Amino acid sequence: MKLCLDDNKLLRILVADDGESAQEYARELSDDRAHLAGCSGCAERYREIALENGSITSALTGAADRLNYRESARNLGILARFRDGVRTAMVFSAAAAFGGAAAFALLLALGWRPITERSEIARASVSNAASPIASVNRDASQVVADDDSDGLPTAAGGLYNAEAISSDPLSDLVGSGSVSGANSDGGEDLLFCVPGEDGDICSPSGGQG
Amino acid sequence: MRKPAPDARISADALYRAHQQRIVRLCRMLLGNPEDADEVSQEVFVKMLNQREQGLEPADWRAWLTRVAINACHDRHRSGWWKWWKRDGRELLDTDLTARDTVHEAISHEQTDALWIAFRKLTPRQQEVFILRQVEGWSTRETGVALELSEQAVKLQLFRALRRLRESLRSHQ
Repeated sequence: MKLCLDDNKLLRILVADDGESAQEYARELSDDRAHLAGCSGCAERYREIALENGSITSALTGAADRLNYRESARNLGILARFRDGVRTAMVFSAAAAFGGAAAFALLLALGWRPITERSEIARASVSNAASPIASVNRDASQVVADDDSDGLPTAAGGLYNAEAISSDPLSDLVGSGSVSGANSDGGEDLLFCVPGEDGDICSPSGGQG
Repeated sequence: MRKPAPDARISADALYRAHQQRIVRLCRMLLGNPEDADEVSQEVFVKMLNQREQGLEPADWRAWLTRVAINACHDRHRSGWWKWWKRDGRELLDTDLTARDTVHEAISHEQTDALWIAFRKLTPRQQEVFILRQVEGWSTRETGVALELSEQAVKLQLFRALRRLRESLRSHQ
């Protein structure tokens, strides 16, 4: 007596029972079919499997109809969470990289250039040339600010002269000329002021005598 | 574009009403989430309208729509980024808001979830064969023609799909 067919063999017969190649399958599964025809237990199981397949199909179509997109924490495993994290990181990294590249491109378009050795040397030479002038201007401003002998308010005088110096368009070009301009506002005596070398002379004219 | 005749428009509406639910369900089963399914099913019906505009009426709209829907889902599946993006636990079954009906009394709530997850893990080809053979009721030959598979291959794919689904059912009994 041949053993009863297992579910897989019954399922194979069930799936094969259709189409033009059914006869071909029937030949292949002839032994199993013969057993199925003569065994009431296998025949019953065959019917159950057919019904189960129908139930599976119904359950799946019903599930598809009721499907809603909803993230559920209980179904998100560690791997999915990790993948979520990686994905988020990738999105933000890409956004940051894109933003950085766009900002760099904008800077280049506006005329900015990266610092090179040559431009550094050029900048150094310019600043060296300008530093004495800046020093003179600063000292002149200080002198004028201190000059209150002619009755002008100190603060007002200081501000006025400082503004004159800073607003002089030629100050960077002519250097000492700007000092003269500033001094002319503060008083005639200051024309002879040599900052840094003769601090006493640079005191207010009233003090000199 | 040529304006369709009024009767053709009515007919298109009738076609849409007759097949929309079926096509959306098919797309949901193949894609796994409703948003994509809605999108793809709309594409399918746009193609149907274009087909009508061109006067290319297929002999069987039901089969034509099914084939187009499967191809559209297949194309979307082949998109690499889409596959990567969806390959996590997001495509879920929300069963909390739905009442049980008599059809599913034989299969429990948990078993339905397990079946759905198992179905999502089938290969696209197995899913397509299962849908055409089991859900749409196509014959093996029709399925083979539509998917460009031999009858043997259709049967093998269906057997594998059913076996895996039954295994998932067994493991949750």
